[in-house]
Amino acid sequence: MTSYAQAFALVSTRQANPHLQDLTDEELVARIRQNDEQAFACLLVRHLNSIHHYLLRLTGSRSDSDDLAQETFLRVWQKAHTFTPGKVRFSTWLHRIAHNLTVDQFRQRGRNPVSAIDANDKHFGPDFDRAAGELHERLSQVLTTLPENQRHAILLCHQQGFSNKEAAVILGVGVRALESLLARARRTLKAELTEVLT
Amino acid sequence: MTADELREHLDRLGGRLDTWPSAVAAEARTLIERSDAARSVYREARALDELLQHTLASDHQATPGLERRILNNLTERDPWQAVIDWFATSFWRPMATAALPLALGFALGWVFPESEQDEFYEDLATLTFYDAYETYPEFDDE
Repeated sequence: MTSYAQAFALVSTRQANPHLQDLTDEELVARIRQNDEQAFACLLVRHLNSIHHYLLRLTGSRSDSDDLAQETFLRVWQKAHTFTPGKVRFSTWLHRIAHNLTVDQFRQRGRNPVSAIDANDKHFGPDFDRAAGELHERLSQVLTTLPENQRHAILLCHQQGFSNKEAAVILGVGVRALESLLARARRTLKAELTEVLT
Repeated sequence: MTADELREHLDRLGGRLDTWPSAVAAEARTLIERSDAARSVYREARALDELLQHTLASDHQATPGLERRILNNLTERDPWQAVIDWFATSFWRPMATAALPLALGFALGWVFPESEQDEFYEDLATLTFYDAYETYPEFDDE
């Protein structure tokens, strides 16, 4: 991963402003509105891994998630003036952009079955437990069989750490509808993994 | 609350009771303390939560070089796009903009009411551009 200093060097020959790293996401977006490329680089370094992980889980393809992540951040650059601080968190807005772009891509290309993320994409350490790995792989596999909107809901709440209310904003549905999606997904997962969970 | 109702709540809200509405969470805690069936349902939900947590959490790294690719693709913003977005991001903005000329017209009419001079110019315009003279009896030779 590129460091803040490296990212700053990529966008500007001006000396990097060390205080940028201390700013909140919302303050950085305010600077991006003034065409501050270093503020954009700062946000990119802060959020790229997370959004790429989310997109990789949604699409199952590293090249698709690269393209979608790029398009997501370019939209942030282009549309920074449409972000309203205080209405939603920046990360919620960012995920909403990524989600909408992914749905658009699914519509254009048709819904391909999503493959589980390759074990190479999970960075297991030296103390990697084979049984745990198999269990994780099994759950990853079951996740790919969930209907698209249920998978999105589970990923947003369990992987990306959003509350039900935030996940509902990202998916563009009401909180009750989001909870229904989560309930159906959890029932399916429990049914598929019953021998592990009991 | 019954064990089945607790299961329904767990499916909808997840296994972390501290994120639930406080009244429902209190009821759920009481039931879990008293009922073996409720405890079993709760344990199953927590196990699923933890499995999801461990499976989905990772120190995932984006593809090397992706930041450079994104930063190299930053382009100048189109100023017109900013104007279009300003209109498109809310319902009231285009409405207010459309209503503005109407309001301006009313305001001007209020400030500058019709005068005798306006009537003079109105008559002058009518006479200048009027060309259907045959409809006037005084121009009829017959």
